[in-house]
Amino acid sequence: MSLEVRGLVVARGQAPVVRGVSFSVPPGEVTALLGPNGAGKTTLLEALSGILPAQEGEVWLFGVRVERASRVARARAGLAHVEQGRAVFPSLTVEENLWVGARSGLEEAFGLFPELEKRRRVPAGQLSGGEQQMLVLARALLGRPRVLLLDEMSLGLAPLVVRRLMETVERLAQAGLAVLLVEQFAHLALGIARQALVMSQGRLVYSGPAQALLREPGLLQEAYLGRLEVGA
Amino acid sequence: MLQAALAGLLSGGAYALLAVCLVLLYRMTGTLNFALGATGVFGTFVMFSLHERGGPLGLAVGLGLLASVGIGGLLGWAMARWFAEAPLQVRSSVTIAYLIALLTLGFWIFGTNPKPVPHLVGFGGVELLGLRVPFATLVTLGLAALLALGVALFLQRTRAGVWLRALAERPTAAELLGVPVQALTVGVWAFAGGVSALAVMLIAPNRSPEFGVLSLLVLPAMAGALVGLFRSFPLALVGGLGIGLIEGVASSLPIAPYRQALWFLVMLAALLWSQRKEVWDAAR
Ligand SMILES: Nc1ncnc2c1ncn2[C@@H]1O[C@H](COP(=O)(O)OP(=O)(O)OP(=O)(O)O)[C@@H](O)[C@H]1O
Ligand SMILES: [Mg+2]
Repeated sequence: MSLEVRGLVVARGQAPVVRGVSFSVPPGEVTALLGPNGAGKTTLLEALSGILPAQEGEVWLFGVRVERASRVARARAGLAHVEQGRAVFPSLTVEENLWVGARSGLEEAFGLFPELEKRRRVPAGQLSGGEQQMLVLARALLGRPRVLLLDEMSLGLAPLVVRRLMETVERLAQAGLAVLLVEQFAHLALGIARQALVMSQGRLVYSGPAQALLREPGLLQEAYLGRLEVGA
Repeated sequence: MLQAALAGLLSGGAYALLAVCLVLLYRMTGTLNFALGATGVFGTFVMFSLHERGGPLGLAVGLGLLASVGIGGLLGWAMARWFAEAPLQVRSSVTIAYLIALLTLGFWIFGTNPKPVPHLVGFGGVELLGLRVPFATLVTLGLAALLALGVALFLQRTRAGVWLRALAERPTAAELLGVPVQALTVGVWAFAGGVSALAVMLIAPNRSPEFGVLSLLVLPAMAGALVGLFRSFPLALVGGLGIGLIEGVASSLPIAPYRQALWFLVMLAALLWSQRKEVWDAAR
């Protein structure tokens, strides 16, 4: 397993928001993480990358425990986290944004998203939402990660852009990356995912094949409402 | 009076060196470093002491610079470790605490007996337009200009410079991309400490060589940095030089006893100007 999580508890302030979550993310496929607003998805990702501390539980990255490691150390170990809300460096140009985490040239990024190359000298703050999302995704990829955490990429973007982003993510997974994909639009995520996790009120209420949720929409609804017990 | 203005340029150069460092620290780490002067003074006194005991000047200067680099780096390390996510007020207050600690430590280690002050630069000078410009002034001005230009180029052109600017905008995002945030922060603080020592060493022969007095050099430098609203390196350079010039000119006028307070007026003017601009922005 690329990423393995055991009994993770994460708090915001006093209140535990992620309350004992266990799952694993294998390489070479997309794992979808779904759930209603406020379920704790972002909080979970932030604990995985070290933005928030874990109160309890273990996070394993390629067989190494990292729940106490620094953000930089986790990044160096191959974990990339594309945060919710498109965290570009606004006054840096597109090119400079890409350089920040790059381990080699920028060609790979421009190959994936040619529009970024056209705007390489433009401050990232001036890009459209779609371009900014492409930028943060490309920027993360230039660090050559082996596990990719993606939080709400599609938020507020045009359907065409969203489709392109999803296709890109699918191809990245096919090339061997382990992807944990958080999405508001469940059908989009399930369309490219093999496994799916559904969170509700800080707990996993479903863990199983993505196809099962696609075939039986009722199941997803139940899961969202928290009426489903965790599957195998 | 021109000769007096020229005399002020040496101070101006030193203020400018400090002002550029203040802008660097403010922009990259969100801190007003009130301890910057004292950081340089500490290294300068290490240099004085070594020189007094017969150490060769070059070695004394080198070790003095190193001491300030260490003291600056130490504060940077504390900032990165414990105050990385603290707001500006807290971080700036920490530097005031550090200033007090350095003053105490300085008096304790170096005492209050006056020390012989070596001149880093020879006594000669060059004739320029009928004025005699001392070498020390030329060297200080040159260093100040070089620093302002060098820092700006470094931030624009190097990988570490891009990292620093990224870090200044979104530290968490930078960390998630594997940017060595702690090392960079310590590096910037250490560098500023070293430059500060250089500035203090250059200006010390023209000042009363007391630990506390020299530590206050940070205040006119703050006024200089304020001219560019702590954003612009060239304006910090101009501001620092300008304050030195004004002091120099004032020393030949009847207001000479109050000349050290003139930079207060510069500060006030810069602040009023910034307010006017904000009002202007808000009105649009
Ligand atoms: N900064 C914060 N301080 C305190 N509580 C917070 C903070 N941010 C979020 N929360 C709370 O933590 C819980 C989980 O939030 P989180 O953002 O992880 O959910 P999410 O599943 O990502 O939701 P969304 O789909 O809206 O992004 C929510 O109840 C929210 O109110
Ligand atoms: Mg969220």
